[in-house]
Amino acid sequence: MEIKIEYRPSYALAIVGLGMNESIVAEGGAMVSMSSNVAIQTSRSAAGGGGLLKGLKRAVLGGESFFMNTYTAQGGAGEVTLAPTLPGDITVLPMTGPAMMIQGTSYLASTPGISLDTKWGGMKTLLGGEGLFMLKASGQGQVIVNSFGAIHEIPVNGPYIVDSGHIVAFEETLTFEVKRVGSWKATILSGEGLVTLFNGKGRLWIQSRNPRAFGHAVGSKLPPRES
Amino acid sequence: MQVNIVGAPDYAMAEVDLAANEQIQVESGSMMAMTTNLSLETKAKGGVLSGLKRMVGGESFFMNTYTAQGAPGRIMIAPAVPGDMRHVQLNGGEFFIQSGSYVASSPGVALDTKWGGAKTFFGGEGLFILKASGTGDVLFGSFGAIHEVNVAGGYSVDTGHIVAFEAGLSFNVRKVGGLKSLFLSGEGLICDFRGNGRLYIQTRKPGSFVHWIHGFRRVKPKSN
Repeated sequence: MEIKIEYRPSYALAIVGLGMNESIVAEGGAMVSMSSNVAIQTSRSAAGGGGLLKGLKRAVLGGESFFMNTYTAQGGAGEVTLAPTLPGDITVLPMTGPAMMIQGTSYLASTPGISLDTKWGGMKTLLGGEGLFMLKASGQGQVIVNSFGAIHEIPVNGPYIVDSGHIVAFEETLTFEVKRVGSWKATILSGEGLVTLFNGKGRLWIQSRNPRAFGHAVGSKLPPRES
Repeated sequence: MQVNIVGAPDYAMAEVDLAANEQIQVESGSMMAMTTNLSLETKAKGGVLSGLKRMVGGESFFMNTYTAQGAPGRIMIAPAVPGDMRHVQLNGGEFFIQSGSYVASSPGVALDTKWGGAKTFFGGEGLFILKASGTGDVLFGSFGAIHEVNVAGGYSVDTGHIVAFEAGLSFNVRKVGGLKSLFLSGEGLICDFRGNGRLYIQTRKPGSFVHWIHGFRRVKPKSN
């Protein structure tokens, strides 16, 4: 498998070259184009046996599509191109060691050797309105993630604070805790909402724009919808 | 006509130099700057009825024609959405453009929304394909970058990512579960191309982006 990322960083496209009978698993809405010998298999549990409940969790809580699709090149080599909904970058995270925690909407695709499990960011996180929802990717292979805006890698060593809406992914060696900044008053008035406090040693990827902040900036200017 | 595309790929615009008395037809709202000797004529081209047909195709009702009066002139043209642009020249052949991607063309190029294959594309997403034919220049734009594929045999694309394609390609639209338009219709539409020719794909899908923003609109309070 050969994965190339083109048109970085604003409107990145992942071009996945598949060998004969090779597969890639992708988030339901990610496929842009493919060679005609590529077969699509739609499944709720394609990504590591997630099952119906996990599929639902992905759909409702993670901002992800309900379905995972598996693309397989049949009878010869083939290609699939993949892109996220929002403008921004795509990057490939090689997985050889620690598991990776991926923010729900940042997951784009993964090689079949990677199993995906949903993991709650804690009820606190959800109640806080940020809807932080993490997928846990483990195994050997590659995970493709996307960012809203540019993607920025931070080698964390010790405590580090990130606004929860800017998280893309981080290595499981990092502990994380969602908390308010300062007092409740400060949380409400500062516009900073909830932050995630990381600790330990590991890599962290953040996105330079917060999708929710952009959504509110545009959505609040539009006429109300019926439901 | 000399066309120079600048600002590519994120925010492309076209600088078009016209010879004396040369004309260009521009999608309504896409003119960003021009020299003072350019005159503008706005009309429902081909009469009101074909203007209405174009509106069904996702284009503006009115087409704007700019003419460089008596001397060379320059017009700068920008599409509405962020992304790239391309310029192609037709030499008597045909070329197909997704209607939302059309930006401008020279007077020798005819645009047709009523050709045989147009119906096939009109599948719930408001996707409509214009057939451009004749001799002259065509300008089109994309949401995101433009990925060019030289199809030899077959290739498939999510219909919302189609920008344009050459006449050597035939196509068939089919439904597939689990694609991007899942949110809109429960099924995605995929276009299978056959033959040989160049295909232009946009790396972002306007419909999905708009649907995503829709989720952030306030909900109208229910009246009793």
